[in-house]
Amino acid sequence: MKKLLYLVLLLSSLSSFAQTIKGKVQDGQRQPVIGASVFLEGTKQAVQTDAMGMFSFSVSEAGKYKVRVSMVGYKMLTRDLIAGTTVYNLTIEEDSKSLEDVVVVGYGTKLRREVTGSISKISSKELNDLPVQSFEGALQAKLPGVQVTTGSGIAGSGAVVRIRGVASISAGGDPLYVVDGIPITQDYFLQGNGGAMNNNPLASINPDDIESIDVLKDAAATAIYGSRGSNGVVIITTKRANKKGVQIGYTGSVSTSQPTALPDMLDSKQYVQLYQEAYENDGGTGQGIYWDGVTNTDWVALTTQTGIKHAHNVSVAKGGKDFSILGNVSYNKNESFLVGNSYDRTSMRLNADYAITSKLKASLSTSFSNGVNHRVNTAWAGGLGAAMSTLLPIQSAYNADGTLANSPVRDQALRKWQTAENRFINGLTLNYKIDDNFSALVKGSSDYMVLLDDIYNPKELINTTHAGNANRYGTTVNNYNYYAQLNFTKEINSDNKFNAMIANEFQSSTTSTYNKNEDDRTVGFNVNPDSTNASYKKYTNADQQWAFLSYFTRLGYSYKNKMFFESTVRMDGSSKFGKNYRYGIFPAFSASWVLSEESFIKDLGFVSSSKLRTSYGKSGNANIPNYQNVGVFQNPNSTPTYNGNPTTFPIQLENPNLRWETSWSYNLGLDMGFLNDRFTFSFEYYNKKSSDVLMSLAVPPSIGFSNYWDNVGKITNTGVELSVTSRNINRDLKWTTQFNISRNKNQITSIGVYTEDAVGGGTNDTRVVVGQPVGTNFLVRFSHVDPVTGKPVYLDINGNETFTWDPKDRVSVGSVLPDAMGGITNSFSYKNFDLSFLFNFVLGGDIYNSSSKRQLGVVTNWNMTTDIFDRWQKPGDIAKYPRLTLDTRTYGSSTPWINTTMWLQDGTFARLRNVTLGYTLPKTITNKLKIQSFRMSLIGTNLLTFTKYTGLDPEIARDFENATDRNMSPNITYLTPPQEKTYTLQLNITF
Amino acid sequence: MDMKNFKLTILSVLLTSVFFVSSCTSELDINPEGVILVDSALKTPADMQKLLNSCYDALANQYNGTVQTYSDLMGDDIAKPFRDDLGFKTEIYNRSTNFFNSDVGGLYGRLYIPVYRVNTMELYYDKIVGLTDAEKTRMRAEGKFIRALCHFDLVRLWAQPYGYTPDNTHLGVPIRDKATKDPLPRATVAQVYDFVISDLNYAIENLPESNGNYANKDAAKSLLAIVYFQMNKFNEALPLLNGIINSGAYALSDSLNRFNSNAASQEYVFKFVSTGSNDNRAAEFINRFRSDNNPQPDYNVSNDIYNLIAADTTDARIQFFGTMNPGSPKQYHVLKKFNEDYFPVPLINMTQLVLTRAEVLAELGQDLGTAVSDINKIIKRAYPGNTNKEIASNADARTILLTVRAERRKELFCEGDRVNYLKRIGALANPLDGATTIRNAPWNCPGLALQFPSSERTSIFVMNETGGCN
Repeated sequence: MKKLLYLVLLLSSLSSFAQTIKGKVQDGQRQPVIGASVFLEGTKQAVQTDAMGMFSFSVSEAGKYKVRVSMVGYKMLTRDLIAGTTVYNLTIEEDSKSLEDVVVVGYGTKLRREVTGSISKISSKELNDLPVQSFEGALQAKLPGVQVTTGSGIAGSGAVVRIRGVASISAGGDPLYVVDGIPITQDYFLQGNGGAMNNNPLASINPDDIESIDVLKDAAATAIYGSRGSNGVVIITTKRANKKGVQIGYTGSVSTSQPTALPDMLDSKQYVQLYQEAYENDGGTGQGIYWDGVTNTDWVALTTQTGIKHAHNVSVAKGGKDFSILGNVSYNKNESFLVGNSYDRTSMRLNADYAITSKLKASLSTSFSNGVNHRVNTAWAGGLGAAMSTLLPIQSAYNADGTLANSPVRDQALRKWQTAENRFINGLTLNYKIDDNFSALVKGSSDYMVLLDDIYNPKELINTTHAGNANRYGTTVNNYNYYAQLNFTKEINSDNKFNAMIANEFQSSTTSTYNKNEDDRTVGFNVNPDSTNASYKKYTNADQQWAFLSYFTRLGYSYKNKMFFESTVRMDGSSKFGKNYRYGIFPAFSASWVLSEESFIKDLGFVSSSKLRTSYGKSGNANIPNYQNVGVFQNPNSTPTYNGNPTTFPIQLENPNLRWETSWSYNLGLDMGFLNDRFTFSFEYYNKKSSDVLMSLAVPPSIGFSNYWDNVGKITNTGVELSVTSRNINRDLKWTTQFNISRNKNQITSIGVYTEDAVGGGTNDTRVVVGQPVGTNFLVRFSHVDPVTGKPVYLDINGNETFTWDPKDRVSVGSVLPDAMGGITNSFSYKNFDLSFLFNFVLGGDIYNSSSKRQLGVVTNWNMTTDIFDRWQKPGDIAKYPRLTLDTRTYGSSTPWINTTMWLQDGTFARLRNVTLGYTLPKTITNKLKIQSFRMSLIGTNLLTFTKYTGLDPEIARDFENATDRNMSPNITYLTPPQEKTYTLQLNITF
Repeated sequence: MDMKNFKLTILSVLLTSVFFVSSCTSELDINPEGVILVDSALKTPADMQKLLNSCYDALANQYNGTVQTYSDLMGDDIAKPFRDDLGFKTEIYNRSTNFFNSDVGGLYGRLYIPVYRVNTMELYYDKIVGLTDAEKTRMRAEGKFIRALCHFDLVRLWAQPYGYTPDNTHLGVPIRDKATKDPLPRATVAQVYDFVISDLNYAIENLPESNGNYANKDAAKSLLAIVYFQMNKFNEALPLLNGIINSGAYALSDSLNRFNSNAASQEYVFKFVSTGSNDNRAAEFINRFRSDNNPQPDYNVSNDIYNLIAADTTDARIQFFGTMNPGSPKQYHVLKKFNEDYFPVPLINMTQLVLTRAEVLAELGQDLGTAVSDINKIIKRAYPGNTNKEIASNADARTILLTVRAERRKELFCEGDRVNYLKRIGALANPLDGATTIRNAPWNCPGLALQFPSSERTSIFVMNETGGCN
């Protein structure tokens, strides 16, 4: 290190014989800014500031020179400096939103000034201040147009992220997640829906590894991802050592987890009383149900707890001229409020950059993470869900001898179940600067995932003479990609600049699955079933494989650094497409104009920045199961015989025309800043028309098959997004308000000849209806409770009242998609204290409380919630809920558990999502302590919720059966656990 | 960089790309493992025979009692199922099926599966090397027999009967004569029957006289006779029935029990084969009705049919009934007809054909002597030793008709005959007994046509009328 300093000094002293321009770049707190880029305008000279924030240029002539300073996270600064001996202090202002911010675009980076598309960005700081189950949850309410429904309180559960609405029905509607250049494995259904939880493929990604997340929203930004970009792209860039010198950091936190709400279930006395009422209403006499008069079990209390979490992250970074390296080690124990449930993550990262020669640079990104989810059954599968349903208060949790009685609580205590994921995401990039105009880049990445789902059931649980059984469900996903690109930049003169890129990418993924079990196992949870045991069996399933082969190009032109034009074209081929449509072409065109560079804006005086953007382009979605394009006959090893003779028969129809969904989208954006960017806003309008929407159709059975994937539907998403930042007070006391709101109108415009039942959202009665949004609640309308009989009165298709429930009377009555959503953050800082509040809000949209039909209706072996107190009891009663009964036919149908609007509610809510109170030690103290920074913060999440919804929590991401269900049935709850409320104490130290 | 190095660099980058591209293009042809791709599934005559065999397999799994009992549940021979988890079956019994009834929708779809397979074979006949013209003709004829059988039962279950409208332009079911995946509208009932008849005529023309356990010429003739009988086209049915019955190849079984794995094969004109309890193609009959190992079968017989048979103490068919909780308010009657581990399902049998010919002759007023002889054979077997039950050799057509109708019910109860039979009578210009009812509901009430599954519903498909039968 010292040698380097001597070298710098030596060079500085040598250069003093010539004319020099010297300066020091510092931040608002007069701390040196290391690694800032300093450009000498009009020349090709550019340097980076050193460990002291110093820079220097040699010039041949004395005089005034224009120097431009640029640094990620700071506003660009341009100053006129006079060559000589003066050392200038250049103070740059922090500003993550300014036009000079560096933005990650697909396959490259750009200054925000140059960006023509719609890209929202979130930095690591904002991620770290919000303890979440999975990193994507931290995006909530921060970025306009990005709807994040965070997963429930189950440890490690994933969020549902929708960018500018949902443009898919049966194909995955989630954005494409790209980590350091590789589209990662993001299959939520690798393990189906076990225990009422889908595997979350993002849980093992360490939020502490993330430097920034850039969300690409419009076609100008996403078309470069071709057939996989139409639902948006989330680009995750991991941290690298970008400062010179050594930096060691520690972040630690401890948190508590509690449910945001708990159900109010009937106690034994209430339950027995209501059961008796139902029994007598049906004409029963005598005692309807037996109760010992004593037992009164609070099952909710037995299945919930206050979870404790703690997280530790140590990072070591060493930056140098030729070689820089960053290491990150994290451990996170994340207990939820469900008894027995926790997610533990250990992760390691090593990112390094090495300039092999002055022209050749290698960059390595490596990470390993191990996530262990200690699983519990929830919702319909047991645990808290059972406490809300099948576990009756009249049933005792314990036997006379104090041991646990047979119940899901006992099952939970006896069963050992964990899902462990080991994941390696690695990439190597070689970047070769051919000359001032050309550079080439080759990158290879791999995302290797091993998922082991281990379940051990002891003999007490399976009632056999065997010792117990051990089961392992193993999944390995080997996903790799490669791309090579050639970049060209040409500055014809200071007014006209060109850039171009051509590239080729190949990606392949193979998923292998097996199941091993051993029926007679004494001990050995989390041990491979023993292949030497007589009861050992192993079943290996056929591998699942897909591949994409792509070619793409980007051409850019800028005029006077104020007008930017760009076009991208990608050609994608995929194994998932039918033979008639092997390749698709996805073009996009965009332009932007920095109006604030024009005199007519400059002359206004109060406008400090202004930029107009527009784009039009095409992107696609190919996120469908493998092999749906080929026609398939049954495996000859498993065909039956008839009359003793062999058979063969088709089991899947061929679709040679199966292809990507196509979205053409138009975007118009205006970014403006006033009064030196004290007040900025960004407004966007978009219109996305999707066609060839993929539907896993329940086809007319008369075809001879029941299901078939086809490109059928059309969907439009039209919306506006507004984000505003206002620095209300900017003195010792600083107060900044950030606000964003998005409105998206989603409409299915065609489903071909099919009807609303052609695609069903699981058992949730959400449907596809032309003219309505994806995930329309399609239900028979409940009108009121008949005061005379206490029976529910429905409306038939013509609006006439009827006591009969008939599915032909279903109509569109609601939508699971909100009308608008957003967030407002107020941040205050005074001296070393900072305080921020984030409220998020959702306006409109409906919640279907599907389990209520069993908690608040026909009395069965389910417990009920106390809402049932508002029920019809005698003629003349005006009540919310009908008469109690044991017979489903009382409610007008021989089909039990009918779906009606009785269980549909307004989904509007606002929530105090995050409160952070922080204290940063002053530099005077940290310097004495020989540390760079020290910050302590107290963080609360989901502290307050304002809603009229009567269920548990108005933010619902339930377990899903498949991608269709995930698109169509968010905001449907079926005993889904609530979100968690957390309190966290966090410590950040850098050395 | 000099130009030479520059060119080398560009070349190397391009070459790397080209290398990957050329090695990867074939990488996009990824096919599933463990199955056969459609392009390689049908290559030899043996493959075609296997596909044809799978049609019988698929059919046998629906004529295992499912087709028959779904029909009978709407009639008067089966009592209302009392188990809660038989809700969808109860809806059939209540004659108020809706499009979410997955039992009904499931059967509907499964009856079209063999149709798709038969139509798929049509695409390959000219592509298979080594398939002789004779084999091709035989396979095609068997296929058409299968396709006709499926369409015939589909139109009987999911549409109002032939004769519901004077010209039969009321809606039937989609006609699937090609292996396509296009949604189709419903054809009219007249069109469906024309299609069935056309297929069966081809089958009669081209099927072999003898074909083992598979469809032969007689099977096709018998089925066509049954089709014409359903249409009340007695003149067309008669020669076909005469041909089969008079051929001497088949005979009424001496035993009343035609549902026995050891039953005499002469009774069967066409049957689905069960080779053992692990290959039991009568599973739905046995699983739903069997009463010797289950005191509470899913389906029991109605008091109506029990009382009808119990009324005559000489009726040997009482052997098919058992009474549970006798004398108590919870008394019910179980069926013993299907108390077997497995048996072949005699889809077309002599009892049915003989009864049909007797009725056809009586309706036509022709050859009443043969009609009397036919019905007396049935009576003699049903009332052993009670010669008083036989009708006089000079009985008039009306007497014959009434007797045949009464005995037909008592012979074929719970075999899937009754409801279609009553609908046929309902559609007659002169149904003899006045307006026909089926378990107290008009023969043409909406609920007697099963509802189509919701997934069949498209913008070009009209569903059945709702409103049940009451």
